[in-house]
Amino acid sequence: MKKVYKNIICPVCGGACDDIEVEIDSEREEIVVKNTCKMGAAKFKEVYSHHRIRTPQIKKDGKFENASWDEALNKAAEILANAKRPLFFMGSETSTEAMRVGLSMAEYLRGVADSNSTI
Amino acid sequence: MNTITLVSKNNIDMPIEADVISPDVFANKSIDEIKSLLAWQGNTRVPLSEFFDITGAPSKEPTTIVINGDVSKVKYIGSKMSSGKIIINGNVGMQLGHEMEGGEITVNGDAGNFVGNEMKGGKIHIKGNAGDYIGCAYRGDWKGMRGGTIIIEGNAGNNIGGGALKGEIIIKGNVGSFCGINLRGGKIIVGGGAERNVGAEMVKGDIIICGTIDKFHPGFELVEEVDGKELGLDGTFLKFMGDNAMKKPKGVLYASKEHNKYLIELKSKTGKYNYIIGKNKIKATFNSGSTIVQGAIIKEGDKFTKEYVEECAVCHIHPDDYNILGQPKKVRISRKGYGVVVRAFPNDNLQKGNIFVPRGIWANVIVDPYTETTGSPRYKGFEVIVEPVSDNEKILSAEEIIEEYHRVK
Repeated sequence: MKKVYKNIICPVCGGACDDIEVEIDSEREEIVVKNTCKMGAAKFKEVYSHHRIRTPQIKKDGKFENASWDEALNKAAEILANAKRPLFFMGSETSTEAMRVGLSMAEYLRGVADSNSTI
Repeated sequence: MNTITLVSKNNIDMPIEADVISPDVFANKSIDEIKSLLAWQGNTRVPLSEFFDITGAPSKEPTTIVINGDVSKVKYIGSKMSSGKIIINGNVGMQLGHEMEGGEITVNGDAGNFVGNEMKGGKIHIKGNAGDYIGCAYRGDWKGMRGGTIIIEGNAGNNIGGGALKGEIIIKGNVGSFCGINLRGGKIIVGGGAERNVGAEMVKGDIIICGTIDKFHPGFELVEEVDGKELGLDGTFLKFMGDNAMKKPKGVLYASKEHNKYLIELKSKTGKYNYIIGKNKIKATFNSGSTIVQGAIIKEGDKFTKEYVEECAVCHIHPDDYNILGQPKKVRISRKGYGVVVRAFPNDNLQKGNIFVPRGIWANVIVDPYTETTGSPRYKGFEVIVEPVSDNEKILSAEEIIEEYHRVK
């Protein structure tokens, strides 16, 4: 089934092109991106790229094993809640909405929030 | 004046934020109250007595605090203090005298980054070396030190006095890059040399460099030669005004004539900085950055491909420099014992004496991992040696580079 998303803001560089169209075919795992540069298109196509880890994994006895999303999110929450000085290093090529969630989490856990745009 | 003594128990694993170690906070408190003052460690608050043996008599007057032992993992000592004294016998951590308003801090050891950042008054004296951002603005702020004095007997790091409005910083040793960046007033005196771009984007204030400036910032104009006596120093100084990248700049930069002769010779003779250091060898300025193709490969494609090597293991170089090197197919770029062989590619988009290597595993062999506590290294503007190599030299793949340089053996 094809779905078309319009007027997306590109998260890659600071140019913030805001007229991007993305067509997703979730059955064939195909993405058509319009109005971006080569780098922007690659960013959206990354969703189905071969090197993307698409199932959450939890390390057990030194080896990664596939896990369910619920199990993985619980594990992540557990690690963060038990951390003495949690570090939220985030924000690279990420939407403002996602960063806001990250900052709220850092604030709630009294952690350190940082990103690679510190400079 | 009464003295409170803190002796470090040397048990601090995770850095603590102890802005409570200040004469203003200690005043009018009993020794038990001082012991139970809370310092942040990570996301929890821990009493000072956990980390220090605290002795002394309580006082109503301004207190002297003596800290013995290593406190290099303690941040914010003397934060916002307005009077009294702190004497530290050992090395101290970041943000010493943060927003300090008065009083005196003496360190018989080394200090970390952000000494006296945004300080308003008082005096900080470091007997050893200090880190980056001394008397500087804090991250995200434009205004640095607003008054007071910082004296550092040893060397200091990068971005000294960044954005300072007033006050005086005296560094007796050498400083790193971007000393006096965005300076808006005050005075910085450096007894030794400076790495590069002194006074970048300064609009007001004075900077005096008694040693050599390795790479002079281009925005400055030579005004006159000044006798050092006028500045209370020995020798003759070259007086520059700038930075002309800013609107109506009134910044003054004095550089020792004796140690910076290249600045005058540069104008009169060749008109060029001589970067050719031998037959077929140049000392170039290294720049690295994303390219569109490199960016696309790391997102959608694969780093372990020929395509990635083709795009990233390349040294873009000005055609004239390419001819100086003898039009080689491959070159070796090296810096401080690290070297990497890449393809040479003449490109007239570059200036002479500059090379560009796309960001990636090959460039990262050369890039200094030091990040000035920003989380990102300095990808641009340092010097490297570029020389041709035989066509038989192998350009390593991404995996081979990791094997060669990064794997813990």
